[in-house]
Amino acid sequence: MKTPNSSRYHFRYEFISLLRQRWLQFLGFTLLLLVVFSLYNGKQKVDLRMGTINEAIATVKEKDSLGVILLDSIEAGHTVSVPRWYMPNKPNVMGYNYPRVAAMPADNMAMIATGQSDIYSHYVKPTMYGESFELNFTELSNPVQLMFGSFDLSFVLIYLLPLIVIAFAYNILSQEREQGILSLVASHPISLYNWLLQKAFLRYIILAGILIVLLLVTLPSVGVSLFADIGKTSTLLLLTLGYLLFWFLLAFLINLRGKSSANNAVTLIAWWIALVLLLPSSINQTANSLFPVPSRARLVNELRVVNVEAEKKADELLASFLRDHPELAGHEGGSQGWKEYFASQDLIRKEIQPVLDEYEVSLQRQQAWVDNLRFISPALLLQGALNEVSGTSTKHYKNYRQQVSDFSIAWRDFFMPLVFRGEDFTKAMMADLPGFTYQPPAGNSTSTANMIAIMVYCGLLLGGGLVWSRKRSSRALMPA
Amino acid sequence: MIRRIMLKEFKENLRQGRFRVSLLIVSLLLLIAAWLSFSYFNSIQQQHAEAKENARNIWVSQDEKNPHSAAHYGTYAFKPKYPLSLIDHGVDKYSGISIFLEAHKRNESQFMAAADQTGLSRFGDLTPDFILLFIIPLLIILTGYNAFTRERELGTWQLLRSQGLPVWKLALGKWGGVFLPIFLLTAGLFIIAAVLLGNLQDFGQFNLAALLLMFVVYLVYYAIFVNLTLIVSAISRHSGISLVSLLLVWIVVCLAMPKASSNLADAAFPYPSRQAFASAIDEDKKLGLDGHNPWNQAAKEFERETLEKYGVDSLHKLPFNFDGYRMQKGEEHEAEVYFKHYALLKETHQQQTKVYQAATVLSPFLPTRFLSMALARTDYRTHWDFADAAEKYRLKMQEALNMDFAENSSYGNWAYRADKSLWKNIPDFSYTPPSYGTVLQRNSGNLVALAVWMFVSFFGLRYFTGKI
Repeated sequence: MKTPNSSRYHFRYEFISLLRQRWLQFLGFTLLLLVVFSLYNGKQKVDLRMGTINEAIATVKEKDSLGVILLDSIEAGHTVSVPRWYMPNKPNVMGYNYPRVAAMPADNMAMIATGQSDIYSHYVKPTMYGESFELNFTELSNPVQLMFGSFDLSFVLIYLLPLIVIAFAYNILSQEREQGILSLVASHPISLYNWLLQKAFLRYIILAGILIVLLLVTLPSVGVSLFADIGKTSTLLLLTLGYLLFWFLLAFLINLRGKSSANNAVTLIAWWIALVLLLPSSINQTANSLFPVPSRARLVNELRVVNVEAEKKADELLASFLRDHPELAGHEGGSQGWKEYFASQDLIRKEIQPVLDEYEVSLQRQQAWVDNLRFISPALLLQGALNEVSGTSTKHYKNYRQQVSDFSIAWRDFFMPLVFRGEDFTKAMMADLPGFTYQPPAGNSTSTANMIAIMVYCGLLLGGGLVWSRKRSSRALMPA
Repeated sequence: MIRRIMLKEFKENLRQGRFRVSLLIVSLLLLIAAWLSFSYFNSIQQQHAEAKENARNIWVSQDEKNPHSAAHYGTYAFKPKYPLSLIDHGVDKYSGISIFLEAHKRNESQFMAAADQTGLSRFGDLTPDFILLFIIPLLIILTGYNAFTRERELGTWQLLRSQGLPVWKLALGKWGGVFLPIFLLTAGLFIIAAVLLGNLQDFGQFNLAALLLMFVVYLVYYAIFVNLTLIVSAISRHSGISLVSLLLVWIVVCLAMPKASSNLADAAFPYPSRQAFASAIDEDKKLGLDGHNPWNQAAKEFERETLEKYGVDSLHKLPFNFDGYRMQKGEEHEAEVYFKHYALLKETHQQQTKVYQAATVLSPFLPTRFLSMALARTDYRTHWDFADAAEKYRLKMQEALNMDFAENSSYGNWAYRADKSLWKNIPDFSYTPPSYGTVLQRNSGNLVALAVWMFVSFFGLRYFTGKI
């Protein structure tokens, strides 16, 4: 029978032996190094991101103040030293040359996972005509960096943490047997299963303790506010604890098989390869093969054909456009060219929408497939959750793109009536210009669901272990 | 004797269920990856050919119009895929597939495949290069981690030593035993690739020598891993410790170093953001001649110089249309601005490459990765080359259009329409990648790094096995 005293004794004995073997010191130091380096990398990326956004906002402000001076002079009837096509009182000039910054600032926890943030742009300046943002949202970057990915906290947790667990726990039982200590342990009044579980649990507590303390200390030091969103902070901590527990339980179960240390190590590594390397890349491959995105090369040509057709029919288009927008009709002023341009843009947007939707649908199918299959591997669950917590998931960027798209329409719609009526833009209108504020998607449904799924995994492993241990006698663990 | 030990090790490995299962799984994965890669390649090749043809059709079937309108209308350059990309997809997923060629602007390549995929894609794809670079080294570790520790644990080491065989000969035999199955597996994949590629129609330049060279690069990479595995096995006390240490080596070499060097490269030599890059170019453009803006200061200056040069007092008296001529001069100024900014970007890229080069000291994965991509023509350098070629073509195309406008119309005649034949007379864009000689020369640093790794690790193997 197990007594509380014997448990405490074993805990103490284990703890001291880990300390003497310098395991604790090694673990603490390695984890400190990894967490600090990865968070430093994350912070560096976030700083760069925020730096470029702030610079862009400052440039726009500067330009705005020059614009206001010009507007002042023009409205006061002074001659200004800028050519006609740079005069901000023309709505088309204002709408093109004085754009707003539509930025996606970094989330409080963005330094945890780079996610998709190295692929996409974090600010654009939509103008009332010209470049279409639907097509190009990617950042200028060295593709080699994108391919290798970033050494961020997410990498440390998903890839490296399980390996630390494997190194720390692959031989908890086998070593005792190989060193001949197991017979001695068996003479104690404690079941071998409980003894092994305690050993594994102690190691878990130690590693989890070190990790949590490290995170709680280092995260605020790189600028993450732990209290800004308690829900998110606790999700992050629970995810880490859950993932760690999963690997400990796996190591525990594999030890329970009663094989040699080397055999345990091979088996655990095989699990790691399968769960962290092979399954994710295979699922990704199936997503791409089963739900391929239509050819972008084809899209390019289709868009051109639509554009030409629209330009050819500009006159007719204007008439039908004005039928759809009676509020813009019946004004004498304004340039005919601009009117035709906007009318044709409207048609182009309508015509290309089905093609763009086709992409949207296939991306959604891919996403749905991946979302369903993510439950196969805890590594996938953790990656998805960390990206969501950091605000760098595909969902976040998609959402941002949609917000920019809506904003660019609002921006265009602000100036279009002025163009159609042939009216000037005035200084008083500066205050009414539409602005862009990024609204992060609400809720953390993915990370919460993933956290629960990881816990379920842990529960299954623990339950499985219990059932198995009841069926097998302790003798099976003893040396032959 | 070495051969006997090698065969004994090989047989012993084959008898182990674990080894057979791992070998089977990896072979199966390689086959699946090769098949997926092949079908992906075929479909991309087809899409590419179709898009290229369509783009050309759209360009030549333009109506009569002002050449400058055609210049703004532009066309697309599509990046070709090369046969060996079947084995190594390199950075293709992250580098975009086409570049829009238009007046006044050098555009970046568009549509990187990774942007059209889910966040999961960052875990990697099941491609032959993924298996070759990441999984086969793991197979080597799983095969060889206990090469020496096992002898020690079973007490057979003393027995072996009593045979009087020099330890390094024994080590060579063990080396062969681990390397042989890996060699056979890799050879199998490359033979399949050679057969598939050799039988493809309309495939362009499939170069058997390049395929062989790639094969050799991977064999050297594996030789290094076998050396590292045997060294760790020789110095470890237990098989378990040997395996866990080797896994650490693998993590550092294949995952941590590439990522860490990316972070270091980015921190030391960051790329500008797309928007910042574009605004810097715009600022510089404004300082010079704007082909569309006759009132621009540089344009006025140019006008005065031209009048002086031809000894006339009015633009109407020039023997060509000054509008077209100015447009061409504006284009040349803009081209210089782009050249300057892209040279700066390239400089940053080269600085980043130096960081990766320095990191090859700690990781034989890096030189292998870069060499393999370079031979497959899926590396960043090839992408740069393609982009530069597209820019060169763009400038030629602009020149032809502007000069047609200048020579065939009079000043102020924006209503001039060029004949349809002009579109056809501008040749289609075609890109020839640099020769393999150039590729190897550019990658000499990687070749040296790989060779040094091989020699040093062989030396290390001899040294450490001598100390057992």
